[in-house]
Amino acid sequence: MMKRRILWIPFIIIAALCVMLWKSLSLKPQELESALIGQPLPEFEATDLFHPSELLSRDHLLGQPFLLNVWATWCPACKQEHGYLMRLFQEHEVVIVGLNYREASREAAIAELKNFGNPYKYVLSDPEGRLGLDLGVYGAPETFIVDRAGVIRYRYAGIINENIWHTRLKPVLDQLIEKEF
Amino acid sequence: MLYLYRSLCVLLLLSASHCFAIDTFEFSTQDKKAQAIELAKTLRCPQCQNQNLVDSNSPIAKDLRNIVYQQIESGQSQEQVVAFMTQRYGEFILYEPQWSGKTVVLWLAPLLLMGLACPMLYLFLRSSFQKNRTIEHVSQEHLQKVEQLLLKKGDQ
Repeated sequence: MMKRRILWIPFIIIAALCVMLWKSLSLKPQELESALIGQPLPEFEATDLFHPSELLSRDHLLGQPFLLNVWATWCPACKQEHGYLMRLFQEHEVVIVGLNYREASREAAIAELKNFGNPYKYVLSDPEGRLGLDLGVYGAPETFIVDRAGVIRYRYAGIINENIWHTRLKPVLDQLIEKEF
Repeated sequence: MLYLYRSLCVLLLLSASHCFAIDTFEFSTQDKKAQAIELAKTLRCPQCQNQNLVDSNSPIAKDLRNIVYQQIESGQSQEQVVAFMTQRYGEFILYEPQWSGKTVVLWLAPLLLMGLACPMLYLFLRSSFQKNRTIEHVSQEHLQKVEQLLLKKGDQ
C-alpha cells in the first residue's frame, strides 16, 4: 500500500505552481527587459535638433551620468511626462538628453520645446528611428539611465512621474553619481 | 452582368493583396524572398506583441521587417539576423526561445513535470488495482457464514 506521505508530493508541486502563477500576475510582459543593460551606448551620428548642421556623437554625452529620454510630438504620453521632466531639470538638476524619435517635422519638435520648456541638455534628432532601433526602443516615452562611461544601466518604458522617479530611477542615478569613475 | 463580374474581380484582387504586407522590397531571388519572409514570421513585433513582423502594421514592425529583408538580401545568414535582433530587443523577440541557460528551464519544465507525474500515476493506479484483487485470504469460516447468510436471504 502506498505511503500517505507520498501524497505530499503533488500537493507541494501544485502549491509551488500556485505561488509561481500568483507572482506572474504582477509581471508586466508589456515591459520588455532591455537587452542593452550593461552594454555601452551604441555608436551613432545624429544631428542636434536645434542646429541641424551640427553632428552629435557618443563623445558629447560621456563624463556624467544622465537620462536619455525618447520622445516625439506624436506621442501623447510624452506630453504628460514633460512637466515632470521640467521639474527634474529645474529643481533637481538632473542631466537629461532628449532623443527625438521618428519625428516627421523638426520644426514641430522645436516649437513644442519652445512652448512648453526644454529640459534637455542636448536633443538628438532621429527621424528614421535608427538610433532608437539600436537601443531596442519599441515605443515612446522611454528613458535610459546611462553612466559616465556611456554604459546603459537601466531602461524604463513609460511615463515618468513622482512615484516612478523615486522608486525606480532616482536610486539608480544616485548610485551612478556617487561612483567617482 | 459584366459589371457584376468586374466588381467581383476587383474584390478578389483586393482581398488577395491583403494576405500579408510584402511592402515593395525587391529581392534578387525567390529563395531569398521566401527565406526572408519565413524568418520575419518567426520574429515578434516588439510593440504589438502578439503579432509577428509580417502581420503587424506598426511602424517598428515595418522597419524591422525591412531590416530582415535587407540583411537576407545582402547575404547575411539567419543566425546573423537573429543575433542582430536579439542584441537589441532580447530573447523576447523570438517566438521560439533559443536554447540557453535562461531558457533551459522553460524548455525542460514540462518534461520534468511529466517525468514526475507519470511514474506517480502509474504507481497509484497499480496499487489501486492491487487493492481490488485482495480477496484471497478470507478464511473458510467466513466463507461458510456468508454462504449461510446468502441462503437465508434466498429463502425469504
